[in-house]
Amino acid sequence: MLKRPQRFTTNKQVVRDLQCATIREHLADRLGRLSYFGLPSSSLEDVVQWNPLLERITAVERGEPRCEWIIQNELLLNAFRLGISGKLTLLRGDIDHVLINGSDEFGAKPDWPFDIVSLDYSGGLFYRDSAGQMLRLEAIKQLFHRQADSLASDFVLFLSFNLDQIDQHEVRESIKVIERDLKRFGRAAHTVIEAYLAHPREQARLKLYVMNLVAQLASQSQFDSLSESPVFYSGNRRTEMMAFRFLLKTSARTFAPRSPKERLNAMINRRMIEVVGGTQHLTNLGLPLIKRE
Amino acid sequence: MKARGVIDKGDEYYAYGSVLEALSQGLYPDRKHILREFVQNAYDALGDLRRQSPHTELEPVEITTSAPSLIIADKGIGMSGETMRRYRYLGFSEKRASSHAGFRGIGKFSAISVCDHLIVRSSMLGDTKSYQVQIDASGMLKCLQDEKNPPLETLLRDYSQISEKAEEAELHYTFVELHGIRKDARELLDENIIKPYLIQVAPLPLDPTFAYAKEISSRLQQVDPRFMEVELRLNRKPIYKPFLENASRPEFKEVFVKDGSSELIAFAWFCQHCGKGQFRELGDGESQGMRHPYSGLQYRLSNFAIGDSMLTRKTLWQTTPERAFYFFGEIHVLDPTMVPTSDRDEFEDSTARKRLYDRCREVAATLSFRAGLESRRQRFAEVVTAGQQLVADTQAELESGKLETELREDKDYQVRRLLENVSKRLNKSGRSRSKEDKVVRRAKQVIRRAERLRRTLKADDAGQGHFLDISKIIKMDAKTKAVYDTIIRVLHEEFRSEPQRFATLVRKIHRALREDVAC
Repeated sequence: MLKRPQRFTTNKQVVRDLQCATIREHLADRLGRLSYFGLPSSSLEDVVQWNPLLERITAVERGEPRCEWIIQNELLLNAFRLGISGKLTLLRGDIDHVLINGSDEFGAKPDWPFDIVSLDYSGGLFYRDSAGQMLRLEAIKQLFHRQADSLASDFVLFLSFNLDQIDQHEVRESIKVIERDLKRFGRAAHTVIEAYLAHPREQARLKLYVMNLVAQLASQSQFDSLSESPVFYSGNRRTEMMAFRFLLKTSARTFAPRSPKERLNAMINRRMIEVVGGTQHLTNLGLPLIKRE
Repeated sequence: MKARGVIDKGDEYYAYGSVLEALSQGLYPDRKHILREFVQNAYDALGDLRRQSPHTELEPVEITTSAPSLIIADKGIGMSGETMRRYRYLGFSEKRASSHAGFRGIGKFSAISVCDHLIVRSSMLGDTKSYQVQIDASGMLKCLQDEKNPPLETLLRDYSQISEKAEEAELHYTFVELHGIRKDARELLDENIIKPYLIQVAPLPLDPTFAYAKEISSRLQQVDPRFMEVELRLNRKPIYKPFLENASRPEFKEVFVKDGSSELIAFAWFCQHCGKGQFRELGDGESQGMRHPYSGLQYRLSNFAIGDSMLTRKTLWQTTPERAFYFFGEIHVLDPTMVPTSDRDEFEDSTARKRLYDRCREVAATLSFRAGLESRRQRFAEVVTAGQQLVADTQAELESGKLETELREDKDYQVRRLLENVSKRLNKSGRSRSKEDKVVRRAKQVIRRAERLRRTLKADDAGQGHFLDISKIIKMDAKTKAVYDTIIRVLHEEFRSEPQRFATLVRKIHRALREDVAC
C-alpha cells in the first residue's frame, strides 16, 4: 500500500514564512551558520526551506509507539533524498524528555547551544505525564537553562501547538496573576483582563498566557524574551493551531532574580495574526487595548 | 524431465532456515565485514550510474551511526522494482564478479545477525516510484528458535516485505538502515572502530593533502577499468585513504602475465620510506615506535582491499619479510579471473592466483633488494657520522693533552675498527655510488683523518704533550709505577669487553690520585 506523505496546509506555509522572516531579522549576522534544534517532522519541510540559513540541524523524532523506527527512518531518508543529511543529527525520543534529561532514548546528547529552537508540537501544550506533571512547560524551562549553561547567544524560539485539552484552570489562574501584576504597575487593567477571560475564543487567553509564560521562564535563565505577533490558523484536519515566535536575548543584567523585561501592557497590546486560506491579517479579536496613562 | 523411478512429491522443501542462520552468523565472524558488504553495494550502484551516465558527478557515500541504527546511503543508480523484489532472495544477484565488487547476493543477509530490522529503500534513475524492502530480522531469528528450523522459503517470505511509493523521477538512491543493532555488534556503531576499518578497506580517494594523490589516481584510472574512487562521509565528515610522511615520490610497476607479454594482470604503486627501516608510529602514544599500520602493500580489487598488508607480506616477501614495511602502496589486481573469498581476506585458490603471486614476487624481490640497498646506505651514513664524531673527539683530546695514556691502546683499537668498517662499506657502496656521493666523500675524509690519528696514537709522545701521564704528574717512583701499571693491566683485561667502563674507571683513579696522593 502506498503510504501518504505528511501534508501541510497553505496556512502552515504562511507560518513557516513568518518564522523565516523572524530568523532573517533577528539572526542576520549568523545566516548560513545557524544551528537548529526541534521537531521538523519526517517531511522536514521547515528545515528544507531554511536550509540555506543553517549549518547544523538537530531533529528530534519519537515515532509511533512500538514502531518508532518507521518514521525515524523516513526522516533520515528524506534528509538524504533532499540533500541535507550532511547537516542533520537525529535524536530519537520525546523532545520533552530530551530537554529535561539532556539526552535521547539512546543516550545521544544535543550539541548545545542552538540559534533556532522550534517546538512544533503536534499536540497540545498542556500535556501531562502519568505523574501529573506538565512536561512541556518543564521542558521549555529546561531549554532555557541548557541554552544559558552553554552560553548561548541570542536565539529564536518557535512554539506551536494545537488547542486541544487546554488546562483552563492553569490558563485562567495565570491570567489573574497577570491582572495583579498589572495593578502593581499602576494600570487599571481589570476591564481588559475580564475581556480576555470572557472571550469566546481560546486564542485570546492563550496569547496572553504563553507570551507571559515564556517571558517568565526565560527571565529565570537570564534571557529577555521579546515576542512577536502570535499566529492562529486552521491546520491539518482543521485542527485549531497557534504559533508563537520569540527572540531570546542574552541579558547583560546580573544573575539576581528579576521580572521579565517585556512589559505586560506590550504583550496585551500585541496584535495577533490570523491566517485563513493562506492569507494573513492582523487582528485583536475585538479585545480592548491598554492605553498609556 | 524426471528420470524413471524418481519419487518426487513436488511439494518438498529443499532448504531450511538453519541455512540462513549459518550464512548470516558464520559468513562474517568479524562484524565489520557486514558494513563493507553494504559499502560494496553502494559503490557498485555508483559504478553502474557512471557507466550509464559518464558525466554525472558522483555524490559521496554516506555512512551514519545513529544509535541504534547504522545507515549506508548512496546516490547511485538505484534499484528497480524487480531488483528490489529479488533483493529478498537469498543468493540471487545480477551482478558479475568482473564488473562489480559484490556479486554473490548473500552478504546482505549477514545483516540479520546484527540488527532487528533491515530496511532498504531505493529508487532507480528515471523511475517514478521508490521501493522499500523490509526484513524483520528479529522475527526471523525468533521463528528459527521457536519453530525448530522452518523451510527457508517460508522464512524469507514471511519475514520480508516490499512496498512502494511515488518518487520524483530524477531522484536515484539506495538508503539502507540496519535498525536495532544488537549488543554483541555494537562495534558497528562506534566511529572509532569503523573509521579505521573503512580507511583500510573502502575504495576511498587518497587524502587530498598527499602531494601525489592526483598522480596516483590518474595512473590507476588509466590502467584499471574497474578502478573508481568516491568520497565517503562517515557521520558527515569525509574520510580518505591515508599516506605516510617521509616517503619517496611514488613509483609505478606494471605486472604482466609473463615476460614479454603486454597483458597486464596487476598494477602496483608504492612509496619507499626515506628514513631508516620500516615506517613506524610517531607520537607519544602506546604504539609509538611500532610498525605503522598503514605501511606495507595491499592488494586491491575494484579498489576494495583484499586482505591487509600482512597478506602481501605473506604471499610475496619470501626472504627478509620485514622489508615489506619499508614501503606503503597498493597492488591493483586487473586479472578479471581473480575472485576474492567471501570475507575478502584472500583470493580464491586458482591458477590465476598462483600466477599473480608469482609475478608479484618479482616486484617484491626488486623492492626488497632496493630496501636492502637503502638500509645499507642509511647504515653507511650512520657509521660515517659516528666515525666523524670519534675522530673529532679523539683529536680534541689529543690536542688538549687530555687523553690518558692508559686509554691509548683502546682508542687506537676503536679508530682501527672504524677504519675497517668505513673502508668495507665504502667498497660495498660501489653499486649505488651516485646516490651516495656525499656520504662517500665524508667517508673518505673520515678514513684520511683516522689514519692520521692512528699515526699520532702510535707515535712516541716525547715532548708532544698529547697524552696525560698520571705517573709523571704525581711523580711516581719506578716501583710504584710498576705496581700501578700492573693494576691497570689487570683492570684492562677485566674490562676488555667494556672499554667505556674502563675509561671511566681510569678517570676516577686519576681524580683520586690527584686529590689524595698529590696532597
